[in-house]
Amino acid sequence: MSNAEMQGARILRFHTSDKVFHSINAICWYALFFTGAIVYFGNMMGKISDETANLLMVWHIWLGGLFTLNFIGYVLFAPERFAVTMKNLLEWDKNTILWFRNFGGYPRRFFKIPFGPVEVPPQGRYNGGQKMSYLIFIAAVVYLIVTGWLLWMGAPLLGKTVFYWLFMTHVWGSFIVTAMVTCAHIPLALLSMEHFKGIWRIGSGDISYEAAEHHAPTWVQRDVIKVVEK
Amino acid sequence: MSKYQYTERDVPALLGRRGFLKVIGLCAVAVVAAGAAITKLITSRNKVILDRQAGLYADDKRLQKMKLTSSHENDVCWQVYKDMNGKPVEGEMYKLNHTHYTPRSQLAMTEAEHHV
Repeated sequence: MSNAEMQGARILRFHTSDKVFHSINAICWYALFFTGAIVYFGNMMGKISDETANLLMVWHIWLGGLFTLNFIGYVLFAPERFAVTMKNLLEWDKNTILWFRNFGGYPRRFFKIPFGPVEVPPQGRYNGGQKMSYLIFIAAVVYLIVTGWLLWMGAPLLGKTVFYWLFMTHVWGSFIVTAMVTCAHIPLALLSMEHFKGIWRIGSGDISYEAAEHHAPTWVQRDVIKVVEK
Repeated sequence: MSKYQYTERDVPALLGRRGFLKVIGLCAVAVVAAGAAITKLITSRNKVILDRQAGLYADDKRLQKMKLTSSHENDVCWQVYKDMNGKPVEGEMYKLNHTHYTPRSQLAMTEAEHHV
């Protein structure tokens, strides 16, 4: 694909299924985080009544159901998009590894820390950091769904020790991933408003050629193709 | 005319027809095995519940013979009322000897405080 030909062009990066999954997942995630955290810490500190805690847990369970259906729906009804995501996340080439030599140049850019070489190796659809964190996020989504259902419906069938550790990893695992999302994923996503608007706007999830070329040159070169009008 | 002129190449499906059938087959085996295990667990759990039920009925019978079917028939309770100069279901006695029901069905792991 010639670069000159693509100047000013728009590239469809986020399909409707990606956007719907991402939006519902993000909203449910924070709603689940707040309902769960209020009950957990509220009870620990004795600052919440049993009635309120019980009501919040009812909401938590309903939201968990929606969270589960959203993920299963994405995999079942948009398998081609799930396949694109997973293929790009699981493809670790040399440049993916080299990204970690300077963490995409972000420490140098934001904190003036001369970490690693100045040049960032060209990245594919996702850079090394995105690949690592998104794989963790997907694993966390699956783990929270499985443990959430086990804790709710399987409680009478689990031993006390299994129940305790499932509960602790469910709670603290979600806190750790929420911290990652809040402190890294969201601020870094805001660095490229083209991508941010692409995934969140109501309508087409396209981004500019310039943004794509800047963040994912290998993706543009290798995977982006011209739309054939039918 | 769409808003974009470029899109990304599709990737081959994660699973072909045979792969899909294999995964479905494995899922079916997993569901059946898990179903059998869960049924066994529930059956044994029900046995514990039935034994507990039988124990409670046996206790009831025993206490009926001793004329101790209600708390106000209990000598120890009467002694408490006497020592504290109170009467059943009266002011301070009610507060000290009764608890309130609070639904905790979704709070298995939380050590909720009981309201006295």
